[in-house]
Amino acid sequence: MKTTKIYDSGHQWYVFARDPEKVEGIIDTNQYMVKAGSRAILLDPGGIEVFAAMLTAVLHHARVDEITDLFASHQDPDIISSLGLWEQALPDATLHTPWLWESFLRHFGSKNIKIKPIADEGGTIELGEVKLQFIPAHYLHASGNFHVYDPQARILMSGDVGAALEAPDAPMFVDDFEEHIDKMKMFHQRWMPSNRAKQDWIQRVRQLNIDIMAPQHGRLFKGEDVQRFLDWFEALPVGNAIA
Amino acid sequence: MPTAVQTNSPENILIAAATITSELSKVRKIAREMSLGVMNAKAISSRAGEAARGFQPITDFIDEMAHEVMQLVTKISHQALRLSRFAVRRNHIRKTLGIYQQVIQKAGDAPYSHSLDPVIAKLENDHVEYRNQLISNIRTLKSLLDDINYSTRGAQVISTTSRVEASQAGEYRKSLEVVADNLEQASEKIRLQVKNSQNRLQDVISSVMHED
Repeated sequence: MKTTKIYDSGHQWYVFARDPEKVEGIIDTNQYMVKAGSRAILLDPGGIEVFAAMLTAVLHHARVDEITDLFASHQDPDIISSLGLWEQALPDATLHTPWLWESFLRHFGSKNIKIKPIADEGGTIELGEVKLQFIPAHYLHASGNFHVYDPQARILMSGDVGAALEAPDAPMFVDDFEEHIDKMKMFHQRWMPSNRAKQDWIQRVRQLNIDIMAPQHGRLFKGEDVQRFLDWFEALPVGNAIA
Repeated sequence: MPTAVQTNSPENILIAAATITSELSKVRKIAREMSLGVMNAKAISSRAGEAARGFQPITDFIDEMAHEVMQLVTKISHQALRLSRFAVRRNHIRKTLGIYQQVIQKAGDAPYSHSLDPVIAKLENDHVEYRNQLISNIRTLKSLLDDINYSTRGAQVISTTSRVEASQAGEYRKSLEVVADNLEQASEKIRLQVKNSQNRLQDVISSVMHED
């Protein structure tokens, strides 16, 4: 699995993606790790199928006992079906996830992991000196959904917002926004159900200082492409499966 | 004839447990029919009066045996369900251990790969522990099946005694002989069903014992 360090100034952000050994037919996913001193959090650590590659990649940058927290933006299998496997290595870790999904996530083979439910209005987590914010993103696409914002690194991990269906060897960052639209359009129109939820999220996110917007599928946005994305998404009608 | 379980894969253990439960539901049905038959036999022997006096303890025996078998079938169903759950948990640990071993191989000289050592050691211990507990669960199930055989083994003797008693029951002879025949057939059916289940379990035990 390819590892890219996207921030390194006091603490680090890593993205793990583009697994060349990925089983055919499953969607490619971006997994993230924020490491601050001797603590680390995995953001949307992925499905069962990518677990081995993901853990292997993590071991190049952190000890397993340094991973003290997990975050699942919502309940989908590509986000967190590996939970039962992580639990074996991280018996003392805490999973942060929308309160809505707490009892559902136990179905992913997890019996003992400590779950800290995130209230609808959001919350924070402190990893040493680093404070991460859980930003509400309900109905984008799941009915209970959060993104993670790091005000110090100015990175927004945006879950399925900004996701694109890409070739397995696609670059990590968007290099031509206009060209990238085709890879995102159907995904956002079909997966995102609510225009009202979308506008609410855009209004909230426009107040943040974002250098990198990091979705769970496809390429990351940096610099002016972040604002380009917000403008494009704002104008895009979603929930288009209803005729 | 039962199909032999060829491997100790958890799927086969689950199939064996489900099949045993299904086969034993037939045993429960036979036992219930025996119990109903006893009521009929009691009515006949009551009508026969003094001529069928020896039949009273026989019907009591059959009734007791039928109830004992039904209770054992219920216990076995619960134990088979416990076995299925155990097989699923053990399978999870086994697969997880395999995945972690794969990670260690892939990680090669990753600087923090040794931080997984205690995790692997715990999974290996859990794997052995679950294997032992699985065998213990299978043995409990086998022992309950043996109890059914124990409960029904007197049926052959009782059906012979029943025929002797029936021969002295005058006009009720034929009806009481039917009771003896039914008891003999029912106990034989139960014996065969239990034997099938025991064979299935023996295959599972052999394969689990010879794994790794």
